[in-house]
Amino acid sequence: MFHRQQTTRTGSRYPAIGIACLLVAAYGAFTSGPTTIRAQQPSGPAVVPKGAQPLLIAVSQVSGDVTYTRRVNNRTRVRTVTLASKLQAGDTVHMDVGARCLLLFRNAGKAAANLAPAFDAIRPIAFRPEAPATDGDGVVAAVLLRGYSEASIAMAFERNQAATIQIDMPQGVARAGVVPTAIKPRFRIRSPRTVVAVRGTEIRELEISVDRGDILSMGRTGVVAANVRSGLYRSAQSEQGTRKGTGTDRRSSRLVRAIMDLTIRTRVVLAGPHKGRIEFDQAKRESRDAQSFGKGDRLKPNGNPKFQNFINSNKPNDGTGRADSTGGGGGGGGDGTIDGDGG
Amino acid sequence: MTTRMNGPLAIAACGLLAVSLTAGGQNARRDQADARLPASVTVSRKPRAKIIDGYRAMARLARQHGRIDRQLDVDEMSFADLRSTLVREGVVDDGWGFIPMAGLKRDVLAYMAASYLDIRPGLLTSIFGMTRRYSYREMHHRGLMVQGQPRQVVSGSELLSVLTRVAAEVDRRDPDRQ
Repeated sequence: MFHRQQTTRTGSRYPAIGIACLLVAAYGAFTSGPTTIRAQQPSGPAVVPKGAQPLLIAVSQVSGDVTYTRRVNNRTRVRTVTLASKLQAGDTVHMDVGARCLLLFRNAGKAAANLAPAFDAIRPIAFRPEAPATDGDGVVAAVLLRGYSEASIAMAFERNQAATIQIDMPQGVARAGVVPTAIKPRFRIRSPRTVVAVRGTEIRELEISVDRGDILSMGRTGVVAANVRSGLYRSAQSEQGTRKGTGTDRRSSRLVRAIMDLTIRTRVVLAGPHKGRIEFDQAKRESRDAQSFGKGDRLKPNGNPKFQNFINSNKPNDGTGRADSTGGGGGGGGDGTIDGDGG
Repeated sequence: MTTRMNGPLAIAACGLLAVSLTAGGQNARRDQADARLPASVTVSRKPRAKIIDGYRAMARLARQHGRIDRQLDVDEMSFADLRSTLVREGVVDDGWGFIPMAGLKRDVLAYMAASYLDIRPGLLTSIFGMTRRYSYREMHHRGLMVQGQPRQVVSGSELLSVLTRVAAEVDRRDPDRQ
């Protein structure tokens, strides 16, 4: 009797549980599937902070099959990118293999003045009495996408004369240039593994791929710094590169590139009479800056009475180094003679 | 007990019908949106690329570079037409008998990429032609492909990464294209 009652009770429970499981499985089967572009889109257009002006994103060059998607009224709209396309924050650019697309980020004030740069046209030379504008017709940054790329423009606005641009790229190849301003712009390209930031100059090439990882090639100037658990350390100098693999990173590091272009350009380095400023090898800059003061610095005239006495003594320089007071080993490898001290 | 089951079963049937209709409508809209994207976007989401994906992507790249007729609708071509087109270009070996739905292996992709770039290292290779094995080793040496098993099936994303590097190599050889 007891067994018979138990059988009846379990029989009445199983259909309800089975139906519930069936419903869940059916819903999962119908709703799951390959990830579509709809699922990758942000929930809505990017929100511009208060007091900020959105940047205008113009397409300067395009070749190949390039489209962009935009969320409009909870629907995904797909459009082909042309030279007349005006992108905005929240759009995602999809490119085919072999395609190219150059995006220009311009501030709204300059863009309203119809100063679109014509790269393919020959401009007449205009002699202006005033100095040319340094803001490049309002262009704040430029991004060149090549090959198969997916680039989502997460942020593009200007606030307090500082531009903030962020591009999320799961895959692709990008080159970027940022116009340096007094208030440093904030330009970032994010990949699933890496955050690359630029301050005031360029990314020569950033390749984001699933097989080789993120490969960053450096421009003519700048440094690469890796921000890991142990802190920020330099990993590469100019004309070099760095790479972050696709494997599991136990250090959970982020790669941050910080280019102090303004600092480098305002630095005055006197390497010699035969080398001008533009010929100075920036890659060797650190080794030159790291030099400490040597014994030859005592030859400097400022506040050195022995040097003043020696200069005013009318004694010929015999090249022996004057070991009594100014003995050998100048900072620049001098041999102790006076003219060997380059300062 | 049978009488008690009728109610839940009817509710379940109605629920399944509603869910299927709703999901079907969503899928239709998704497909409509995805159909307007470049074909490579669909390929990039595949965990395993197929032979026809590799052929089609390579043909699309060749069309972009002007090596085949720009008027060809590569996305609508049949597998046999794709194969014959690539064989004429020397990208695909004539002796290959792959079926369209077979997995695209790394050595096959390396052979196509090396042939597209006309990479023929070594004396024996230049005389007797390239093999898939040494194509893969050469492409790995040049940094166009990663190290791994030659017979491993590539993902769609990896396929597009390799082809992007091939396109960059073509641009590097011919700066006027940029």
